[in-house]
Amino acid sequence: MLLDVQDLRVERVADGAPALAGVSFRVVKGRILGLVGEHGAGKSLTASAILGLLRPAARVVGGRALFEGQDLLRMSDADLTRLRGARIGFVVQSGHATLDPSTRVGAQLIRAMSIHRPIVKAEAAWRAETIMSSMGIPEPRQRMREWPHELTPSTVQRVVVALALINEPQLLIADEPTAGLNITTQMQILDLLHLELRRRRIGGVIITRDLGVVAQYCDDVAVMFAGQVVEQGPVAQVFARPAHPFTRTLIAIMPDRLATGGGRAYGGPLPESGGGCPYRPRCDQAAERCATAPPLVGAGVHAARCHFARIGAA
Amino acid sequence: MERPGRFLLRLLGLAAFLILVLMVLSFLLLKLGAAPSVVLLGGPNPLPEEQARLVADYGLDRPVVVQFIRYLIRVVSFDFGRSWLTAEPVLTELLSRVPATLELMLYGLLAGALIGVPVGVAAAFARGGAEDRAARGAAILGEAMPPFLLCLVLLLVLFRWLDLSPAPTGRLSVVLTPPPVVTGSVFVDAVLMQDGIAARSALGHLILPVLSLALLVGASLTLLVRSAVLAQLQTAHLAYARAQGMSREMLTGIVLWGATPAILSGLTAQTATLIGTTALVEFVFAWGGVGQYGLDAMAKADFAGVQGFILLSGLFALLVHGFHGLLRRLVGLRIRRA
Amino acid sequence: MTARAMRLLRGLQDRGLGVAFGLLVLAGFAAALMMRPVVWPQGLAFEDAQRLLAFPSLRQPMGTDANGRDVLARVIDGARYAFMVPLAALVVGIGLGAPVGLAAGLRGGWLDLLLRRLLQGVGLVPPMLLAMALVSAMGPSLWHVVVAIGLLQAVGFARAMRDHVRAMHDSGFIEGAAAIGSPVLRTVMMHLLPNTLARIAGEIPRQAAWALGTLAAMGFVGIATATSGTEWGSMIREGTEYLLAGQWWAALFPGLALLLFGAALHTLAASLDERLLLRGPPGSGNSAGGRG
Repeated sequence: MLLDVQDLRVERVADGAPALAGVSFRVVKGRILGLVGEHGAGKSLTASAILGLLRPAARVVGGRALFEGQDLLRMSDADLTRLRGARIGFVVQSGHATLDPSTRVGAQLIRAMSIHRPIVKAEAAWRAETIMSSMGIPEPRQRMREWPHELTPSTVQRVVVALALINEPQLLIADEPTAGLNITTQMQILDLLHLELRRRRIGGVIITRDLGVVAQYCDDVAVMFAGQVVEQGPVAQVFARPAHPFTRTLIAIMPDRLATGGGRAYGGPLPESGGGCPYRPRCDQAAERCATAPPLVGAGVHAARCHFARIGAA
Repeated sequence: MERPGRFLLRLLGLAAFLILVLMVLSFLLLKLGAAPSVVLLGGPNPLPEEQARLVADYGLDRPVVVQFIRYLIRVVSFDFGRSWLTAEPVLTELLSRVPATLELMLYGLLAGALIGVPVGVAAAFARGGAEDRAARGAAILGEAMPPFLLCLVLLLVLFRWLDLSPAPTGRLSVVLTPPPVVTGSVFVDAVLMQDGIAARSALGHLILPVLSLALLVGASLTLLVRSAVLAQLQTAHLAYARAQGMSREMLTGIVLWGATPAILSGLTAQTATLIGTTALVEFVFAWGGVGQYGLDAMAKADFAGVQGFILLSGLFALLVHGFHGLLRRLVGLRIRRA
Repeated sequence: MTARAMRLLRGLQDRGLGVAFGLLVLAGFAAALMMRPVVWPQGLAFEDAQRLLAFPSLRQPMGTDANGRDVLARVIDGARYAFMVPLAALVVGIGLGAPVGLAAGLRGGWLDLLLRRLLQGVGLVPPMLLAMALVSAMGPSLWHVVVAIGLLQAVGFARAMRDHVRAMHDSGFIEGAAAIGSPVLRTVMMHLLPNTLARIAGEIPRQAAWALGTLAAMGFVGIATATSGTEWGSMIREGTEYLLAGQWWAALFPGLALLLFGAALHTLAASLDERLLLRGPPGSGNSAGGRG
């Protein structure tokens, strides 16, 4: 197992309000996990917490994140820095806003390599060009000399993927890698990610709001709601027999969203805080017992947090 | 994006207009005066011949507009009038004092940056922590501190009590002869002439004024640098750089580089008004720079001197701003043109 | 410092320690100013010829100056100028600058451009020096000092007002209001002004501090001789030669008063800035590491 996150808890420093209330999931080598949920469910927050990149306004207060035998949450920043960009690659959303605007693309790729190990400039340049080419970027040598703002959004995102993979990581985390891109480009980037992950036989996490993406590109899925993972399991099983009401809702509206090609906000009443099931305000199955925290009901690798979950049932 | 040629022309046009405004301003100063212009220009009791000369030269019996035109022509031909205190041409007096002021400002800015930038950066990184609060408190103290008070306190402690610093007699001890002027800096010239005694004295006399300026400049710089760096720390690309595994040192470098434009802008604004603070420091230490000259002229109502000094300050600020604008353009051009 | 003490301080700070400190100091000066004529009516004029330049003692906690006058009484009395001059100058500054900036911002066009260039030109000269030159020209009376400082501040207020109004104009806010029939003046009074006020609230104490510093500089250099009664800058000037000879109290105590008053104003300004500017509209605060 590549990444084993157990009961990750994050709270807001200012008032102690919980932001992540016990997130658990596993990433297996060679398989891709889709971390899906609506806006504000805590998906990006989870990635930030695991990588040690939380903003000062939040802090980790419990849980473990085991990677290659070490707990990332308890590592020093110096050790984490060595892992980031090297053993764990990160594909960020909106590359045009996050790439360093004052450095040329080629230099950024070379820099991504040189900060982790000593490398000769010529070799670094060759590697950069090669990976850009394998990302499907035409005329890579020309692109390397350009500045980020001169690239098309599609190329930018390919560069971001290149930056994530250039040091041959074992784990790749992609945080909404196609946000803000048009449909065709979205599919191209996702195809690229999928291909690379398969080719290198490494593990990956794709964070997204779009269940369709999970259906198409992921092997496993973890559904998040209000700072918790409410259902997880292999994509095939979860989609065939979703055990949590939220998952069912997501699946139900999925064809809609694929057809309209984009985000239809699927909000509703705010999730409930306090001891009960957070989905209660929106759930059409809610009953008395939902005032208490639902247990994790599971069978094998498919599990859901619901009093009424029956794994494997129709 | 304009071509540099057209930009330069536009800049020159703006500069010309601004210089015109400055000249109107300094002309108005004279006219706003309570005393008649002959007194302001000629001293409290000008002799009749002197009065007549002034009236003729400045056209004081003509309408104001004519006077202004005359004034304009004089200034453009580098005639800033004559000080009634010293009977010397104002321009000559000002120019001879420029090196002293420049020397003080230069060292003061450098030393101030040496203090202000690291403290500001540290405060930004330690956001909200004890160091941050201490730095901000010190910065507020520096902003509230009247420049002349700081000079006096330093003099009291280092000159009077600890005897570590010489008396405030300008750039050199009164008993020594200054070296021949080469660069304009007494210290540098003394070193060039291998005059050890003068060099040591000049150095000693430099310490307190430079220290005073440095502390004051450093205080404002701290606040400026802190907010510029804080802004950088919030950016998305810094978070991404962290995700790529860049070390603390590298990140600091990126942050500093990103904060540089904002810092330069603030520094420019500071430098343009630095003449004011420097003038006060010069005044206390009898430094012999343009600031002291200007303040003396104001205190004694030597108006030719005042006008010249105001014009000079405005021109200096214009140069600083213009230089900064050009610098920004050039760097911007370099980035755009790949 | 213990962790508990730190947390206490932080809590106090969150509740506006800065504002508290600033207001407290200013109130202290005001109280002392008002009480002095009651507590010690003849303290100002009394010249004790036996005790010239006396070191601070119980009877004269700040010592006496070269004329034998009690420094403490004079320092307290000097607070008069510290309150009056910046306040009056602010009235002049805002009174002149705000309407001009408002007009230019609303009108736009060449009037706006002309004003901007004019302000730019005037702004080239360091404001303190220009104010001093004005007083030097007009004559050393207190009123001239107020006008000179006020005029220089008007430049800043005009520019700030103009920028703010221009931004609102460009964002279509004013047009929008006009489109639904709201008369321009009403829009201005009810929406623009409160908005601007919040923005410049922190600036006002800062400007007051600048006015105080400029006044003191004028007193110190000897330009504003009409205020040389108990104005702190002039007191420092008179005491300078003695300070250099080691008798520091006549010059230093007025200086400390200046520093304290100024620091109070700056702390007030910084706290106001923090509370009004950084606490933006709800929902714009720090999110804990990203959405999703």
